[in-house]
Amino acid sequence: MLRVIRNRLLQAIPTLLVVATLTFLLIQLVPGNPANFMLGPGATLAQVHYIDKQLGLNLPIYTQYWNWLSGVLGGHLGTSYVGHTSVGVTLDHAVPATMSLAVLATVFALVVGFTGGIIAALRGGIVDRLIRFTASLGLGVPNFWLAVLLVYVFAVKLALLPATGYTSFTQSPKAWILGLILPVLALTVNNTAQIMFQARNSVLEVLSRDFVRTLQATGLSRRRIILRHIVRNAAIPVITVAGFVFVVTLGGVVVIELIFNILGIGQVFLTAVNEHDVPTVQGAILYFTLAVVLVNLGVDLIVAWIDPRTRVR
Amino acid sequence: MTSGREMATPEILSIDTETVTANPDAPALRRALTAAAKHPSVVAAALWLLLVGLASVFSSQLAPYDPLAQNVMDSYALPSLHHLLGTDQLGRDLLSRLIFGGRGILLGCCETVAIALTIGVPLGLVAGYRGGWIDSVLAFVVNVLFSIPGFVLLIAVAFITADSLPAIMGALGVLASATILRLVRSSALAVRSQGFVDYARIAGVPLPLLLTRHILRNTLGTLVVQVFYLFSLAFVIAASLSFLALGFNPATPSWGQMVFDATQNIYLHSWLMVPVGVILTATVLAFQTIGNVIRESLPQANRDSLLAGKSGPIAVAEPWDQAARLERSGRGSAPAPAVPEISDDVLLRVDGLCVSFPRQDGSRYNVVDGVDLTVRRGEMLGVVGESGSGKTMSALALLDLVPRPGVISARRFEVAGHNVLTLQPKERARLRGRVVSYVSQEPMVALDPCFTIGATLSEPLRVIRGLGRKAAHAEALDLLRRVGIARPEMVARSYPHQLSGGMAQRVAIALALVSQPELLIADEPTTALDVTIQAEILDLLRELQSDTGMTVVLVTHDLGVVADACSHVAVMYAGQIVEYGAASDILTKPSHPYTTSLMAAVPTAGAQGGRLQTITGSVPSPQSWPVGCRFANRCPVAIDECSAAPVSLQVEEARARRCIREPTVARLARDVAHVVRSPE
Ligand code: SF4
Repeated sequence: MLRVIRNRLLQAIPTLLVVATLTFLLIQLVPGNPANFMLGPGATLAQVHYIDKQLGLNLPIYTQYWNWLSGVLGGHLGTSYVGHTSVGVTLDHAVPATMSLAVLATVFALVVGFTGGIIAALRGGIVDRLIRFTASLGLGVPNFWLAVLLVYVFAVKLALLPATGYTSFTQSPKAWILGLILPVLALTVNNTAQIMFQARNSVLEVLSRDFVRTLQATGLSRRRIILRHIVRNAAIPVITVAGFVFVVTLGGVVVIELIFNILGIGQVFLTAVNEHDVPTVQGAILYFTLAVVLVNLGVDLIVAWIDPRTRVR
Repeated sequence: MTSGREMATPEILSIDTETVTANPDAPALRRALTAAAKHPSVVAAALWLLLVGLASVFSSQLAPYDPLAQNVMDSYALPSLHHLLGTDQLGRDLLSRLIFGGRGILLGCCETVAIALTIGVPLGLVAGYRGGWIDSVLAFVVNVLFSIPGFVLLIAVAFITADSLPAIMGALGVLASATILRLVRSSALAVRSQGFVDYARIAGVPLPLLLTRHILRNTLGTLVVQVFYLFSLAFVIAASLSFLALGFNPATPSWGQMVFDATQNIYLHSWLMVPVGVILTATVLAFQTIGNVIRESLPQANRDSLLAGKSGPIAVAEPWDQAARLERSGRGSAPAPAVPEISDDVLLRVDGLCVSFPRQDGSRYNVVDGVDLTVRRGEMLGVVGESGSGKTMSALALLDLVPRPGVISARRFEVAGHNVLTLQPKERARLRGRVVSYVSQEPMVALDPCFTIGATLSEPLRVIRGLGRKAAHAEALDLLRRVGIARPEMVARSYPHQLSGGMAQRVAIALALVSQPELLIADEPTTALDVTIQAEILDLLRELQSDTGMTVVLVTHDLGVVADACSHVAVMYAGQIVEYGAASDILTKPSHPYTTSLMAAVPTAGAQGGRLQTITGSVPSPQSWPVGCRFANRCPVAIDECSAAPVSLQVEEARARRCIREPTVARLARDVAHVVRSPE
């Protein structure tokens, strides 16, 4: 298992490097000069040159790349063009909110979706159809629309929960969780439905495997076979899908943060995009990528832990 | 589509997949698509998508108003005859805006899907077919693409390209091509390992044709499903982008933008939310539904659950036992036990055992049709027959493990002094393992892949035999030693996938022995193994039997196995026993034409090329059993009378046979078979 962990870590590093490089190159494609954006339309050529020099934009591209990469590796993501603050600091402040959202949404989806899927597969009949119908609806509702609906019902009409804003956990755990209920719900409904379908299908698939029959023939109880063997085998594809779902959730976070006015990485990113704040855009993409790579790594490790067949590679 | 027949006769299915060498999936896809197309929810979904598509194409003709025409006097109007869906904050007609608002999004979806397919399919084919470094490079690329936070990248693309929708949706297509690539690659890999691609290559089919014809066709089912999911994903993303006003011109209406407008007015004019919400949800739902239904219609999605349900009691009567009823009214005597009356040393006794499955119309048909068996302690009974004879189903019925929705019924069913017919499902389940136990055909899939052999063996030892952790481990090692495994410690630490077939079968046998059963049912325990290993496993079974005095029912299609190992033999055909007796007796003097033909089909030593003789034709399927002798259409010595009425099982001393002709005539079947089969 230790070897597996080491191997996966080693695989993750080149991926991260490639994505980082792509990010850098991508940003180079932005038309126009950042200095022009910063100075506005009335800037003189001398001013632009001055800014270029300050930002290192007059250097050849590979030098810029090298400066940027060595900075990133040393933990310096640069300085924002707009607020002249450290990009790393801004992003670090935004991380807890975004992670709270994405992690809670994924955990909820995993717990509720998996349970629902197992029940649907084992019960069959009307229960199955009911669960599948609900899941279909959940799959269909766009999260941004659902978010607005939830705000309307729970915040405006019933006034049960706050409509917007984020309180950090350290400030007040209660306010933290109350503020997260609606955005997490809006984010997670699609995911839950997706995991529900996957769980149902994989439980059905596992049920058709020969070992189920062998285990029954040894005299183990139905309950034990379901809980110990079927759930465990069915979990393998479900965990993989949960990983994909998490990545999609990170995208959803951008929209949901906007609607609920939560200052997370998504908001930072959107603002930076609108303000052409290149270092912040780069940094945010890097943070998102890091999250994806870490989650993929985690998924791989969990799957390797459950399924011995994947440990060899 | 699961027809009752497919569910009921896994044996027939398994032979199908073995013998099919032609491309198996193409007609299956067509069948799946036709089946899906009949589904009402698919019809509704397709109609909806058609409606949305047409509305987007012909928006200018269909929209009652100019979607941009403002009328501040008439803002926030609720639905009325003037404005069917009301108006927005600027008094613009909502219906018209909806009709115009889908165009960009849907066009973008089409672009994404097209690009994903154009990149993913050919690269996937090449990666899967060629393998090697191309595959490794592509695998890395896919890995990178999967590590990119998609939506974030799209926003970045919007930023770079100054909100160009084609560029954004194209980028999404590139990202999504990774999924397609992976899918096609794994199918190509799987198909490649099947024989027919090699044949086609040897036959000189050019590579591009080979790739598209044979490999692509095989993945087509999953690919179609994936395309619908991709549409749905692209749709949600495009709508989200338009909600963020990215990639969409604020001047032209779009659905996401309409949601945004609605958000701004949610407090006072919540109606604005409704129409656009319905459209978005219904469209995603439509894509997903079609994908799901097709997916479920594909053959691989329809495998039956092997988990026995919490079913009711086994039917005592024989409501579906048509044959038995006919038999009583027809010719011959009532079904009689094949051996003299029951005595103490009888371990298993079943009379009139039937297994039935429902047809689509709710009526039922039998796959096992009135089987009588008596097995004494210490016997080794061989149950022989071709695929589709019902032998496996009979064996599973003895364990009460018939796959759902099969139903077992019998007139009499006793194991080791338990009257199974009066037991509750829970009590019947308690017989499994402790009294009757089971070894299956495919050792490599018979063990839970997630657990080590040691853990697999220890579990029932602890749960059922109540041993402690250490004692269970010691006993597990002991069991492994007893089934002839030389290094039990090492095997106990291994996982099933690390074992060879023969080794896995030994472990499976050890698992069956855990609770010291009195009756072991072995369903083709040697079929999946190499010839040399087959003999070893048979030896092991014989050894265990003589050591423990255990009784064994050995299901097999191989008369050679019976000759090697069994004391008694029951020959099954089309759900019935056609001949029964002591193995030595039957094998030297078969008295049923089917047994005779089976013996002729056994490859004898010296014959070249393995199976020289096979019986022409195949077992009739359970739903088309004839009234008369079920073997009549293949029987070399059949006469008209054979098909006239059901043939009953006639008992003579220690033997029984189901044939109206004399044993001497039946024995001729062998020579006739030879004549029929050899044209020279
Ligand atoms: S009854 Fe007739 S058809 Fe049937 S096995 Fe005997 S001879 Fe053949």
